[in-house]
Parts: sequence; structure tokens; C-alpha cells
Amino acid sequence: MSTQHQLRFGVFFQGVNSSTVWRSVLSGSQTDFASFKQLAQTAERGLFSAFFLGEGLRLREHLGSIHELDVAGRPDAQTMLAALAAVTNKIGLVATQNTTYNDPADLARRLSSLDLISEGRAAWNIVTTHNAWTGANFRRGGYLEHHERYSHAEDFVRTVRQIWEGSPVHHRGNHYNVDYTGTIPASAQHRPVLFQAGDSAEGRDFAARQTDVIFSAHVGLDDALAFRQDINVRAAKVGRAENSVKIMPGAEFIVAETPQAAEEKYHWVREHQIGPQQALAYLEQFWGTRLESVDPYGPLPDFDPVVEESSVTRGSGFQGAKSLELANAWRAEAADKGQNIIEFVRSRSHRADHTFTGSYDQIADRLEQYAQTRAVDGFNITPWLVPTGLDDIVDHLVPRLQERGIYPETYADTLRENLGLTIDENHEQQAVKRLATVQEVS
Amino acid sequence: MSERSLLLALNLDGAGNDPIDSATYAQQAEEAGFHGVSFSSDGLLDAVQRASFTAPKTKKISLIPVIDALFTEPFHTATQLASLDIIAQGRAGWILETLNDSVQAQAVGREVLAEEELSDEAKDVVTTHRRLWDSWEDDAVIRDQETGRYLDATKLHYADVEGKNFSVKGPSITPRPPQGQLPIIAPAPLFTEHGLQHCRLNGADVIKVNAASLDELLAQAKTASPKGAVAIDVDIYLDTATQTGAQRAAAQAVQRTERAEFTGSVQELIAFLGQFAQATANPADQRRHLVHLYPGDLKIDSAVLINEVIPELQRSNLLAPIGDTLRESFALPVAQNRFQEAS
Repeated sequence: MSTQHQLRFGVFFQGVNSSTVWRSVLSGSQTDFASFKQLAQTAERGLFSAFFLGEGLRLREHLGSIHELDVAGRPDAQTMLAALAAVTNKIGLVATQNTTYNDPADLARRLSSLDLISEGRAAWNIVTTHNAWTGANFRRGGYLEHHERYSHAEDFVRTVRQIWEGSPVHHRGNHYNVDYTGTIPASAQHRPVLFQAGDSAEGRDFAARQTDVIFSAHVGLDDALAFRQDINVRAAKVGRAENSVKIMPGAEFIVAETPQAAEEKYHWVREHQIGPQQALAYLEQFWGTRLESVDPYGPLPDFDPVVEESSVTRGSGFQGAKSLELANAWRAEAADKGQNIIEFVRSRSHRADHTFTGSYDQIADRLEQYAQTRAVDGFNITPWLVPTGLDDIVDHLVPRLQERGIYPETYADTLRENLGLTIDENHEQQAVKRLATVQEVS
Repeated sequence: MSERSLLLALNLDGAGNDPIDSATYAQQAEEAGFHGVSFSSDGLLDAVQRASFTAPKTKKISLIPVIDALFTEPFHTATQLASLDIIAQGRAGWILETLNDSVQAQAVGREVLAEEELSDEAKDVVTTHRRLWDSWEDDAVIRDQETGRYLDATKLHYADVEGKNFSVKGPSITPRPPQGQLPIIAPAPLFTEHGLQHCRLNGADVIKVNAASLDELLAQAKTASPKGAVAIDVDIYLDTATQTGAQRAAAQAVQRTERAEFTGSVQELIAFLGQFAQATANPADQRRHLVHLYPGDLKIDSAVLINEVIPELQRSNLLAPIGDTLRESFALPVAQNRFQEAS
């Protein structure tokens, strides 16, 4: 008889986004330590495995000026997590950190530092943004071509891992040179856990070779199962055991005592996330011009976009798209569904399949399917409210999951253990060893 | 005699890589009446992180990491320090150093700088921090229901720093820290005309002098003090019941530092601190000056400092009152936002 597969939760405090409600009196500070502390302690009360912080290294811009409509302005991830280590005991502390705008030696040192300060609870969520626009904030600038994104990132991650192994690193590469020997000993979990969110074929291969956990975008059950299958195939090719790469999709939970109450809450959340200005700004990214004179309660603009490629809010992580094609498709879709602009944007910008809406019992039943099929190892929850956005999940959903035997009852000591990860020595050696090949080439 | 002019900071590197131990020392130092504790990165856990870990465990004491300005990314250190100040609610400072050695440089794939370049580079780095810290006005977050704006873009500013070796666009990704501008304590050789010449808006706030002997240290402090607040670094080995400070220093297997070294009794240390207060006294202003102590043995020396030295300094009225922020302890004026002034 196999042991029941358990789901684990993480919380993703993004700090900059359009999904955090700020227009309500219930919405607290996005910057004060008290908010972070309250959210992290609530998550720990609910036995969450991990507390994630997001990072974006340039303030977002929209049509050439600072984007004003969404929450923004966050403390440095690792500095905040070090403080949270002092007010929590078991929850994992995950810093989103960029491979393009950091030095490998400095990042390796800071991450192992966080790992020791937290007694084996640190993790690195690897991101690979690489544009010159963000690079304008850094000594090294934006020096990366798009096609080099993953080769550079992998080079970087291997260098960091080699530093963590404790051996002297003498790396000569196209983008940076490093001569460094780490000075910080390994933590109780050997090294910080590695997360990554890339979804392209290249990104998935990278994850299969280098990461412990994928922070995926595949939430729906069938989608999640297909993704699991795909990752297992890629991991097997590099000699990793089935399900050894853990998968935690990002998701939003809107839950309440009854289905009706959850439905009402859902509408409240969407109304507060996307107001008329946010709806127009969303379209402006694709129309390439201000739409101030357009009625957000009317149909989509009947004039065509002024740009060929979308000019998405910079720093928001979207890729360019063909504007006219998109505009035509959206006008047809909105007309078909009888949606005005605001309704259309609300339905688009927060995809229904990324959101679990329902009563506590309904959602617990749905999650049981994820556990039974092993589609995922857990969910990374983005709360729509700070700092109280996890309260109902922790107080009402978690106990129901525990009753069903699909959620932990206690904490282990390290993040690695809490995620059910083990150190595979063979793979560790492989992951680091490839660096030697890179060195010979360059 | 200048009364109530001294700030006292204790370096906690002696606690090693145990953050809880280090935080316990910080709590004891706070209880005793130290103004600050410092953390350096020399082979240990990250200084900012150690300070940050200590922040929620303390209430009044300032937390002052020692950070290199040459082989770090100014954008990262600016947001790290601003974040420390946010977490510690205005109790953060920065002891700036220029670690111009090849090990530091090669770790990030760069070359050491020529000595004469250091002050220019430090100026560009400090200017970047100053401008990034001001790049959010205090009331940039407006949460305006009517217009749907969370931010007011007119209260956010590009830093637009064009340094000799780098440029930084901005604005910061972190809102303005509670102190507006963290006190920056920087080595005297950087205060050249083109470098950190003493100017609280673009330069450093506190000149840190260094000398091999205590007499020389006092002489330098006296020379520097008319220009502004002064800091001194001192290694200390205090006499204990079983050993003199000199014996303890001699028994140290570790390499001696470049800092001046004090060995002796509690009374001798108090006398030295009185001399320092006198040397830096300036009847024209109420300037405060920092004594940064590196204990030869954290456990032994901090116990003597806490139990004997500080009570005596308090009795003799040498210590400055502890402010709610480090700026307040230094009696620095409220930091005006340069962008707000311009508008």
C-alpha cells in the first residue's frame, strides 16, 4: 500500500502586481515589516512549507512613465527574509533573485548566509530577466541577448553550486569571470533549495537539470498532469528519479464557508483588483496608446492599435504579441460573450483556471484529486490581500486537508525535508561537473 | 569639556556565524546603553542579513553593517540598506569601507582600482545611494480610489547617476527608508575635494579616522572634528581579574589589525574616552562623535564594558542620549528630499 501523497503550500508575497487588492480598508502596508511578519507567521501556523518573496529590479513603466495603478515598492528579498528568520521557526524562506544582475560569488555568499541564519530554511527562486532596460540600474548593465538567456543562467547557477560545494572556483566565461572560494559552511539542508519558473522547452530542460522545485503555471488538473509527465521525461534524460523534481503551481484561492459566499467573495476580489483605470491600462499595453477617452463600461475600442507589437507594462514579464491580430480576436471574443471592457479584462487578466473558488469543502475535495493523481506537490498561493489574505485558508482549508490525510500535520526541520526533497549525490555532482566542460570551451 | 557627545558602538563579529548568539549580545548591548552594534562581512555571514536578523529582536539600538563600496552593486546595497532601515524602523547606518584588494576584485571579475581612484569611486557610489533613497518621496504611495492610482508618479524620480565607472537609472524599487538618508560613516582618506568632501547631501555624514596609536588617533580626531562628526575604530583588550589587557592582547594568536589598540583598565579606557570627547569638542555646535569598539574577546570585553565602563560613562555624562533613529542619536538634521526641494 502506497503512502498517501501530501500537498504542500507556499505563499508568494509578490509585492508588485495587479492581483493584490489595495482599494480596501482591509489592505495593509506592502512595505512595513509588520505585514511580512504577520503573513509569514500566519503561513507558519498553517504549516506552509515556504514563504516566497518576488523581485523586480526596475520599477514598472507603462507607455513610457512609471506605472501608477498597481501595488509597488518592496524591501530587498534577502534582507527581509533574514529578519523573518528571527520571527519564524520552521517555514522556508525563498528569495527570487536574478542571474543577470547579480555576481555569482556575491549571490552564492548571500544565499548561504541566509541558509545558515535560518538554520537550513533558505531557497533561491531563479529568474533570468535579461533586458537592458533593467540593466540600466547596474554596473554590468543589460548585456545579454535573448538566446543566451538560459545558457548564461545555467552557467551562473553551476558557478553558484560549485561555490556552495566549497571548492575554489576559477571560472572564465563570456559574461563574467569569477575567482572565489566560499567561506560560509553548508547548512543543515546541505545547500539552499532551488526553485525556477521558466516554462519554455529550454526553461523546462534547465529546470530538469538544475532545480529542485518548479514554480509552474500549470494549475488545471489535466494541464498539471501533462506537465508532470513532461518534466519526468526531461528529468529521466539527465538521470533523475521519477517525481524527484517537485512541482508547485502558482495559484489564487478564493474560499469561504459556502459556495455562495465564495462566489460573492470572488466578485468582490475581482472588482477590487481591476477597476476602470486598470482595465483601460491593460488594453493600452496592446493598443499602444492612451485610451482615456474610451468608456471602460462600453465595448472594446473600435479603432485599431497604433503599434504592431504590444508595448506591455515593462517589468511585468509578458512577451510581445502582434497587436492587430490580438485586437481583432479580443473584440470578437468580448462581443460574443457580451462583455464590456472591464468585464473582459477581469475575465482575462486573472485566468479562471489559476483560481480555486469555492467552499472549503469543495476546494478540499478538488485538492484531493491533485493528491490522488500526484499531479502536483503543492501550490504556491498568491494572497489577494496583505497581510490577512491567508487567514481563511489556514483556519478552514488546511484542517480539512489534514482530515483527508493530504496535508502535513507537523514540520520537519529544514525546507528540503519539508518539501520531501533529498540530496541525490550523483545528480549534485553532475549538475556541478558540467561547469568544467563550459570552462574548457571558454 | 563637551558633555553628552559620544556614541558607543560595539562590533559583534566575535559572535561568529551564530545569529542567535549575536542577537543576544545585541540585546545585552541595548540593555546596557550602547548606541549601536556593527557587523562586518569578513568571511562571516552577510553583514546586512545579520543586522536584519537582529532588528526584530531589539528596539532601540542601531544596527550598522560594514559594507564595501568598490566591488558591490550600488543598486543592490542601496535597497538592502533601505530595507534594513525599514525593518529596524530607522535604526540603520552604514560603515562604508573600500576593500581594494585583488581577492574581492577577482570574486566579481574586476580589477583593483588605483589608490587615487578610490575617493572618486566612493563618491559615485555614495551619490547613487543618496539619490536612490530620495527617489521615492515619502508620500509616493497615495492609494487614490478616485483615479485608481496606487502611486503618484510625480513623486517618483529617476536617480540618473552618471558615474565614472557605472551609471544607475532608478528609481529605487524600495520606498524611501524611515530616516530618509541613513547615516554613512566613511574613512577620512575618501574625503577629498572630488570625493566625499563633507557634505551631508552628497557625501558621508561621519569621517572615520584611523591611526596606529591612540595619541595619533586623538590628534586626527581633533583635526577632523571641525568639519563634522568623527568616528574612531579601536581594538580593545580590557584588564580582567586574572589578566591584564596587555597580556590578553599578547596572547592573541590572530594577526593584529590596522586599528589602534587599547589595552588597560576600565579607568584608563574612561580617561581615553574623555580625551576623545575633549579633542572633538566644539562649543559652536552639538555634534556627536562615534567610538567604534572591536573587542579582543567579545564575551570578556563586552562584560566589562557593560558592567563597568558604561555605568561610569553615564555617571560622568559623556554619552549622548539614544535617539529613536541613528540620525537622531548623531543629532543629524532631518534629511530633506533633494527631489522634493527641487520641485
